[in-house]
Amino acid sequence: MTCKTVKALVLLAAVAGCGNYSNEDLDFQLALPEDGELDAKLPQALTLDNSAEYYTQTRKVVTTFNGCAAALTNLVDHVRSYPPTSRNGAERTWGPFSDDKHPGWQMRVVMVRSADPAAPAPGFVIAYRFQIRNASQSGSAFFDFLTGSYTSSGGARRGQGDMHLLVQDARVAGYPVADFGDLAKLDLNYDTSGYPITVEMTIANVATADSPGATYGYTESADGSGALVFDWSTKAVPGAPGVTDIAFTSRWLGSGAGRADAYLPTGNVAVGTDCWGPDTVADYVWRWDGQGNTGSPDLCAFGAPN
Amino acid sequence: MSFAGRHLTRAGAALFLALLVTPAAASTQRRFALVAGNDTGGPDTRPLVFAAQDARRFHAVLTELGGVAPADTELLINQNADQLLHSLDSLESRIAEAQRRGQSTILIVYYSGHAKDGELRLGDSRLSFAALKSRLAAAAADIRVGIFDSCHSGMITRGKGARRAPAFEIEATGSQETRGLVLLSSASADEEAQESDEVGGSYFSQYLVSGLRGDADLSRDRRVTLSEAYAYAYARTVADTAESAAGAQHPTFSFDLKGNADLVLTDLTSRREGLYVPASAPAGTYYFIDASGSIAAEVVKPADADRQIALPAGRYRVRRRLADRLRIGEIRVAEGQVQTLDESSLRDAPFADDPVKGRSREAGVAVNLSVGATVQAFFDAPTRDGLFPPAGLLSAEVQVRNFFRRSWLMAFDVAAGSANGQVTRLDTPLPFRFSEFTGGLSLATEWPLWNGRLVPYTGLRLAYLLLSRKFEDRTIPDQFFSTFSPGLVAGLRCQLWGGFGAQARARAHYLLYNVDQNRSLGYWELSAGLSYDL
Repeated sequence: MTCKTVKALVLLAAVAGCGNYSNEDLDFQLALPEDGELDAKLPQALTLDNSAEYYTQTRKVVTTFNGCAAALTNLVDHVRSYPPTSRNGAERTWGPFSDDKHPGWQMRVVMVRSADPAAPAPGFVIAYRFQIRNASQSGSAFFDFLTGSYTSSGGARRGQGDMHLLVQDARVAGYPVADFGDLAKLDLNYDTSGYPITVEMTIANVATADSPGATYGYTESADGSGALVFDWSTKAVPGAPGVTDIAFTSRWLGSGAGRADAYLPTGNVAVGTDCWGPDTVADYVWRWDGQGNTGSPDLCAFGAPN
Repeated sequence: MSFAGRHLTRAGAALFLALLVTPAAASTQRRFALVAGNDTGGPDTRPLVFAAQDARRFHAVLTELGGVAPADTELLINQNADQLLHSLDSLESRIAEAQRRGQSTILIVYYSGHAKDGELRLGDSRLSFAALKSRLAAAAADIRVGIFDSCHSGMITRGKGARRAPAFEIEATGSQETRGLVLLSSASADEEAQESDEVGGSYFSQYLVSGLRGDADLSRDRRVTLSEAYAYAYARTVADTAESAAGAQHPTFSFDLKGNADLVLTDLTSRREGLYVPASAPAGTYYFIDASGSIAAEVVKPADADRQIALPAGRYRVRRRLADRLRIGEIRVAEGQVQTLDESSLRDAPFADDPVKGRSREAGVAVNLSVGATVQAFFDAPTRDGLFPPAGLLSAEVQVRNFFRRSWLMAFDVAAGSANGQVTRLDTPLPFRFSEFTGGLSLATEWPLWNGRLVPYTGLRLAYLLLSRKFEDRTIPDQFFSTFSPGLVAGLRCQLWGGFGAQARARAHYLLYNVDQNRSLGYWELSAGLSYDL
């Protein structure tokens, strides 16, 4: 047998019986929320110079909210974009891959599918972990940077899930997390199995941060209306000594008209209300100190929040 | 020696096994026959093309016209020497039983195949001429006839009474019952026995069979005697081989008979079907080619003389060769009828349309290219529905025939196609576009029929498959799977006109799917297409 023949046979063997053609892989790939699927969606895309103040504030919060959701979903993009590196029964592993942005570090994604009789059909839960390790240190073990789970109901990427970004753990392990600022942990729970879609996000910052954190609650209805409840914890509110917590409830219709109410969670004290029309311009403004109040609450798309 | 494509002999011969009640068989004389043909002769020999076929044809003429009951025959195709001797034992037991009942017996032993160095070569086994001759000489049958169509077969006729002569005569007027041994050989002890594409068999066997079917009936009494058949076969064999590269081939005979009755080998009156060539038909040699493409019989018709031969019912192509063209046509022999050949039903044709000549073309390496359409589907329904959907493919194939050995087919094929599919996961239908590329290598053996115009074949195939799918949901990455897949292939190639033909083919394959888990799958393919001989 000639050398060429051997090479040809080796080549043939190499291309035989291989590939990523798998239906089961789809279950794992469809378990992960896609970028944008957990976004809060305001009907208007722009903020005008004369847009209502609370509308503008809502949009800023939406931007922050969506940015945090994207940070989570982008981390597991490899799972959607590439076939698994290895398969072991109900477990799939992507990687380890080199972290191009942080040389010396490796990352991998491990997903495990397990039966859950309590889960809706098809009755399983998929848990996933995005892990990193310092490959430059011998014996360095992978640790969790992001964990999550997904229970299917309602179709591909539709279901209940949770994601937890463990920035502080990574920081302690020496992983470069400067991009995450003061963030210590980001928790996200969602239910996209049907309307109303809900996404709850909790941000916990490091102790030295100006703000200990924030919570967000987003609700989306089928008609395009939605609501975003957000609550900032802060060490100090300028001009309001002793105030450390401010909450907003922002609601909008599919047309774009909406209302936002600011209040102090402690004692549920209202401090301001803006209502705006589809053009985002304020139709009604009320502030607790009477500064700039205008319009009538009858023009508001929503009544006062409960 | 020229070679022709190997043929399986007509399975139709079996249809006539039941039509065997002849005057000879009905009398107190009972005939037994051992007919053996073997295309292979072991090391140092080239496979023959027509040996097995010659045996089948001789067997057919014996059972149709020779008064040999099917139960009293042993037909051995490509069997070894032990099996031949075992069959001979079996026949001798039956002969002894018949003799105890007071029946006179005849044993006819026919062999077509290789012989070398004084031995019959039956595959890898050997049987010496001397041993077989002694066996026949000592056999209990009243008359023993040995007919050997093999190279150097004249060695068996050496000895008392051996002659290389055009004919022998046994007086037919005596009343004394004939007893003894007759040996016929197709060639002298130092000659090769030749096969011919032209006659579609070995010269000697072909002429012997044609003679037994009636063309050797010189006495016109509708009975062909041993001496008539031999004389006919001798004359035709010597004449037709005189110009061959191997030189003239001379059949030989020897006999040691007591008694004065010639031996009637075939009784044409026992057969009601046949062909009649009237005296008004032009003189010449007429070939009658059966449905398998083999020459069933030939008739040498003198001017102003008629000829009649016995042939089974069926459709025959007729060929008469002239100096510059052929006269060809078709004739149908109906059950129980003698069909008269009508010269006006024949037409002129160039030599290229020779219905037998195609056999020669196939003997060498031949290449054809075919293109066609293929439908493929997996046997397993869930696999078919959600993993690898049924697909249509356009295919191309190059077939190389007679490359490794005669009637073997080697084929390289490629095909590509696609289909729309859908898989449902997490209660979500996911449409996708399935694509497939395959390449295959097949090795098959074929059985040309009707002079190669219809060629069934079957064999093995090793395919390489590259299967892929692209989802409409572009967030899902493309998937592919590649593997080798062994399988079986069976097909039918039909010659149409010129070098063009049509093909139909079926395949069944095994596929090991090993992405999620090891699963043994199978799929089938059906193809049809057009081919062209390069």
